Amino acid sequence: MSIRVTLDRVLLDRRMSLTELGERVGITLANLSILKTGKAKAIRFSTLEALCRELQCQPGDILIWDEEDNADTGSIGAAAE
Amino acid sequence: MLMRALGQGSLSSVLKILVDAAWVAACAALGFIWLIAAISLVAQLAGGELKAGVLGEISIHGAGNLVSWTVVGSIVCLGVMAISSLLRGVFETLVAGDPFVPENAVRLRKISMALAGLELARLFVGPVINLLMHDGGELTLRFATNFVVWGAVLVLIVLSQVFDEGARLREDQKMTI
Repeated sequence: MSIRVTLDRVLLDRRMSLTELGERVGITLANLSILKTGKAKAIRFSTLEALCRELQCQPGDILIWDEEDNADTGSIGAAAE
Repeated sequence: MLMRALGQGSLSSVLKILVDAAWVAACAALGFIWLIAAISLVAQLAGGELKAGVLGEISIHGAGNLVSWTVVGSIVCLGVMAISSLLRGVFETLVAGDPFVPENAVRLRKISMALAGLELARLFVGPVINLLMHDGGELTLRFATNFVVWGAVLVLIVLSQVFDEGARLREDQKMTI
C-alpha cells in the first residue's frame, strides 16, 4: 500500500507536539506514534475527523497517495507488507 | 449460571487443570506400559507369559504381541502428552483473554495432525508389527477405523483456519487507530 502519513509535517506547520495532539484528540501517544511512523494498518473516520478538527486541515493534508512509495516508513500498512 | 469462557476462574481455567491431569496420567501410563513390558520380557525369557489384572486383564504372549503392545501404548501415551501440552497452550491464551493469536492456529493444526497420527498408528502399527513378528500362532489383524476421530481431525483443521483468520483480524484491529 502506498498511502503515506504526513502527520509530522502538519504538526511542524502548526507548531504542535505529538503529545499535545494526543491530549486534544484523546489518542494515546503510542497510537499516534504508530500512525505517524506508518505502522498503522487502518485509520477510523472518527480518528481522522478528530485529527482534522484539531489540526484544522483536510484528510488529504495528513494522508497522501504515493505510487512510488511502496516500502518506505510513513506508509500505512508498509510495515506489514 | 453459565461460566465465562475467557479469563481467570473461567471454564478454560478449569479445563486447563483437566488437561494438566491428562498429561500427568499419560506420563504415568507410559511408565506403566514400560514396566509391564519389562516384566513381560523377563517372563517370556523365562519361558512363560504375562497375565496381569490391573484395570481389566492384560495378557501378553509372544514377542510380536509384546513389541506391538509396547510400541502402540507408547505412541498413544506420547500422542496424548503432545496433544495435552498443545491444548494447555491454547487454554493459557484463553485464560489470558486473548485466544486469537497465530500460535493457536499452529497449535490446533498440530493437534489435528497428532490425532490423525494416533489413529493411523492405532490402525496400522500394531497389526503390522504383529504381522512382521508373527511366530506361527493364531494371527488376527483388525483395521477398524474410527470415523469420530477423522471428524474431529477435520473440525480441528477448520478451527485452525478460523483461528488464523481471527488472529489476522485481531492484528488488523490492534493496528487500527
